Parts: sequence; structure tokens; C-alpha cells
Amino acid sequence: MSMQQMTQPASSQAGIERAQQQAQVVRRLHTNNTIAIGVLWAITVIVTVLFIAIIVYLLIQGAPALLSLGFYGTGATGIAAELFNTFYILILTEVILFPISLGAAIYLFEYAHQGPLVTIIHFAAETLAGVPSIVLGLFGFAAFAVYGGFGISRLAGALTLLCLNFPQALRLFEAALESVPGDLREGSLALGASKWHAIRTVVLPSALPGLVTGLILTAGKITGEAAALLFTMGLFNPANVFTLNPLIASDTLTTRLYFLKGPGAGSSSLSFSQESILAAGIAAVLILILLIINISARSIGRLIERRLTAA
Amino acid sequence: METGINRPQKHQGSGAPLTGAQVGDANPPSGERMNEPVQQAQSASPAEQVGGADPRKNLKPDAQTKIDIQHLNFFYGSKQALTDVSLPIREHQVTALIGPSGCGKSTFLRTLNRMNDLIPNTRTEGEAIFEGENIYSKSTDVVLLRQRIGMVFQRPNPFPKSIFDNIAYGLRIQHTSGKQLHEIVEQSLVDAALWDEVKDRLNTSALGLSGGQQQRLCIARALAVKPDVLLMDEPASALDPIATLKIEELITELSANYTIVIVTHNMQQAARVSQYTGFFLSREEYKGRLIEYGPTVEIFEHSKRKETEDYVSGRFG
Repeated sequence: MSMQQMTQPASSQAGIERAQQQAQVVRRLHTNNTIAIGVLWAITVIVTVLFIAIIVYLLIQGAPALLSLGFYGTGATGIAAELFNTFYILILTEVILFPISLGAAIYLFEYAHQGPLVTIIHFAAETLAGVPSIVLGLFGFAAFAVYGGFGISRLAGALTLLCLNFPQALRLFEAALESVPGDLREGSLALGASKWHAIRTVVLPSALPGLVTGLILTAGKITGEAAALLFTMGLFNPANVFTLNPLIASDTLTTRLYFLKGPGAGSSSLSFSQESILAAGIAAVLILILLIINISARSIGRLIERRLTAA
Repeated sequence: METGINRPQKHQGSGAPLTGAQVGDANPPSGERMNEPVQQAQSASPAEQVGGADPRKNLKPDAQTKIDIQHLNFFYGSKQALTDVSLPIREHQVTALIGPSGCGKSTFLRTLNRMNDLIPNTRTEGEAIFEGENIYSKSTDVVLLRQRIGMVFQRPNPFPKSIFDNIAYGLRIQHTSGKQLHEIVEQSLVDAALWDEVKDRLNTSALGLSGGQQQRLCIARALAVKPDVLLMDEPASALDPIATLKIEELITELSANYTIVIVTHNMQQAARVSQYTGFFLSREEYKGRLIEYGPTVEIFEHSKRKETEDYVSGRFG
């Protein structure tokens, strides 16, 4: 639309000047908008391409290992034990983490008087979330492996991961409870439900999509954690690695990767190129697991939401 | 909802939109027709505007007092929201609570089933005698109280469950099950005039219902636990005129068996459905006072207080 159509007929000199001025202002607005869109678009494209490139690069690097059968075995170039341990530690940690952090979230959000105590707890949790995992690893070693008497073990590792993930889980679960409209709680209580009954039958089912998302996001973090496990779970597997015994030391995909290209480089029976192929394969497997976890976090959460609200 | 409702004679309140402001007695402008089902002849007295059901016919001057509220004061922190409110809630009658926004009428309603307990730092003084017990007493079991005094909220709040499970919710709390459960669910839906619309899809989600149906579902859900008193907090304010009419008809029918207290923004609604009306007002000098209480007809046609007359005639609010 031209400026003539939008402004009053310019009968006088002042009118013409005004129209020109307005046209200038509008032109500048459009120019600035175009520049902003361009810059934001460029940033987005660069970041997206970078992410995709990293993933694709790691998958291509890992392809030789992923395609060899020995990679899935228990030999020197196999990761069967590490894969088992990774999922073992994931499940063990979640089994402890989920009820504890959900319970804390329910208490803090639904029951506790929203006063200074709750503020302090949130502050403490946020501080804990900022502690480097290597520091928590040292703490876990002292607290669980030494004082707790569990030694360097899966249990000590799981408890350390619990400390590491508790703040995030708490925050995610509280957010999930917060997303449930207060109307529903009132509706339930007005029908003569006790608070716990309302939470159990209305609040938790409504918060389920958020709870599942929280669970899976922490699962991703647990799977990818290495530093906290170095001191608490060890770097080697005993002979009875394929058991559910929580008191044995074992390594995971991440700690194996660390050992392979870190302190253990050149010390094993593997050649340098074999080591590199194996490391790239482990990295690729980790990327794949995290991809699956993140995609399922989104789709499962959405699926549950749709089932709950389906007409 | 205020838009299409014609205030009786006098001049229109400032809150009314411009298009509907010049409502003449003889020829309502065509724009006014949006509220068709609810609207009746202008010149009629408010009580006569209901098609058929005249709440005055149901007025029982000798109705017993179901809840007797005496000298109620209510505070949000240090801020007083209700001051010295005393009124009776009469059995099997509809008591309407009217007044401008922020006058405390909803707060008052929520004291009756102790819903304000959920808000931290609130304080209640005074007493509300219900079956010989003071509702506001610390020893009152709120769970039991809320099973006796049900509530319907401003916005329909069905649970994200099936229609059946919504109605059965309160019953299951009380461990009703089996055949009896099914019977009460059906009866409640019939009573809430929803049965015919949902009987073929009881197991589908209640969130798939329209707003008006959801609100009737919430009424059915409240009825299912057989409360003595039903509190309604602006139950039609989020609904369109046709759904509103249905809710109003339903209230009239339910008043035969239930004691109903309804908070409404809409004075014509109060006139259409209630036998008794309480008018609340909040001013600098008196926070949340009950200005006048009496039979609805008295309040609307021969109010004793100037504030009431000004409000019901649309001079402010």
C-alpha cells in the first residue's frame, strides 16, 4: 500500500511534509525489522548446522565400530558390559531419584507453608545444581564409598548421581505440579476429598506429562554423566559384571570413553587405531541413546497429555 | 454476560457498552437480540422476566434457616474483606448474593465451605451455625463439611477424566460402588439436565464437552454426593446466553430439594432465580458489608437502602 493511500490528501505544503516524514519513519521501522530478522535467522541457522554437524560427524566416526560385531560383545573391543552398566545405573538411580524428588516436590509445592523455609530449600537446591559434578564425585567418594561403607560401587555411584540430579528433578516436578490448574484442586476438595486424595486422584494424573518429561530429562543427564562416577564407581569391571549386585565396581560408557582416551590410552592390548575406533563407537552410541531419550521425552509426554485430554 | 441484560427502566449504568446503552422500553434495538432467550419484555418487573417460572411463587416466608451466619468478619492478612455480615440461608430457597466486583460476595460464599482455608494468612471471625455446629470452628471437619455443602465454581472445572468418573468422583471418596454408583451417576446427570446429551458417551473425556455442558457436569458432580446446600460462585458467568438459561432453569428446579446460595454479577439473574437476595458493598469506610438482605422482590422493587436501589437500578456498579 502506498503512502498516498494511507495519509490524508496532502492539500497544503505542511501536509506534504508530514506525509514525507511519516514515510521516512515507517521505512526505517521496516528496515530495522528486516535487519533483525536477518540476524536472528543467521544465528539460528549457524547454531542448528553446528549441532547437526556434531551429531553427524560423531555418527560417521562411530560407524566402523557400530557396524562390527565385536563391538557388541564382551571382548576388549566390546561394550556389552558398559552398555549393561549404563542402563543398570540409570535404572538404579531413577528408582531412588524419582520417589524422593517427587515426594519432596509434592511436599514443598502442595503442603508446605510458602515461607522462608521453602525459599531456603529452593536456594540450597539451586546451589547444589551449580556444584561441578567432579566435586560431587569427590563428595560421593567420601560420603558413600568411605563413610557409607559401600566402597567403590554401583550403589555409591547411583547415590552420587542422586545428589547431582535431585535439584533438577525437584525443579521439573514442582513445575509439573504448578502446571495443574488450581481450579482442579478446589474442585476436588469441594467434593469432600482430603488433600492427599485430591493430589493422588486429580493433581498427579494431570501432572503426569510433566512428570514423565522430568523423569526422562534426568535420565539423559544420568546417562551422559562421567565425572561424578570416576571416583565412586571405578573404571574397571569385575568378572561378575552381568549381575544385579549393587556393591560391585563397574564402568559405564562414559567412564570407559574417558579411560580409553585418557589415563588408559596405550596401556591396553589395543592398537591406537583400534582405540580410536572404539572410542568413536562409544561416543556414537551415547549420542544415539541421548537422542532416543530426548525424542521419547517429548513424544511420551505429548502422548499422555493427549490421552488425558482426549475428547 | 452483562452486555445484553436490560436493567429495569432508569438509565443505563456506565459499564454498559455504547451500542446497547439506549434501551428504550418500546423498541429494543436489533443489536440487543444477542441475548434473546434470556431477555423478556422490558417493562415487566424483574421477577416476571423469567419464562414461566416465577421465583416469587416458590418464596416460602416461613422457610427454616439452614445456615445462620452471625457477625462474620473475614481478613486476608491485615486487610479486612468482610465486616460484620449476618444473614440466614433459608432451606430449599435460592439465596442470591449481589454486589459490585470486590464487594466480598465470593469471599463470603467461600467461607461457607471453608474454601478460603486454602489461601494462606486468612482469618475468620464470627459464626455460621449449620446443623447446630459452627462452620468456622477450628474443630469442624472440613472434609465432612464439604461433603454436606457442595460447590460449583465460576469456571467449569471438570477433571481430566471420563464423564462417568467425574460424576463418580465424590461418590468414590465415600466408597460408593457397584450398582448403586451407576444409579446415582445416572440420576445426578438426569437432575442436572445433562443425561440425554451424554448418555451414549459416558466413557469419553469430560473435557470434550462444551462450556455449558461442562458446567452442568460440575453441577451433577456436586449433586451426586447429595449435599444439603449447594454454593454457586457465578456459575454462568463464563457461559453463553443459551447455556446460561439452562443453568438458571436448572437452579430453579433444584431449589425444590436443595438449599442454594448463588453469587452473581448479573442482577437480572438474581431476580430470575432467587427468592432471597443479599446486597454486598465495599467502601472505604466499610469493607465488605451486607447492606441489605430480604426477599428478592423487596430488594429489587422496594429496597430500603439508597445504595441498594442505586445498584439494582444500574446507577453504579
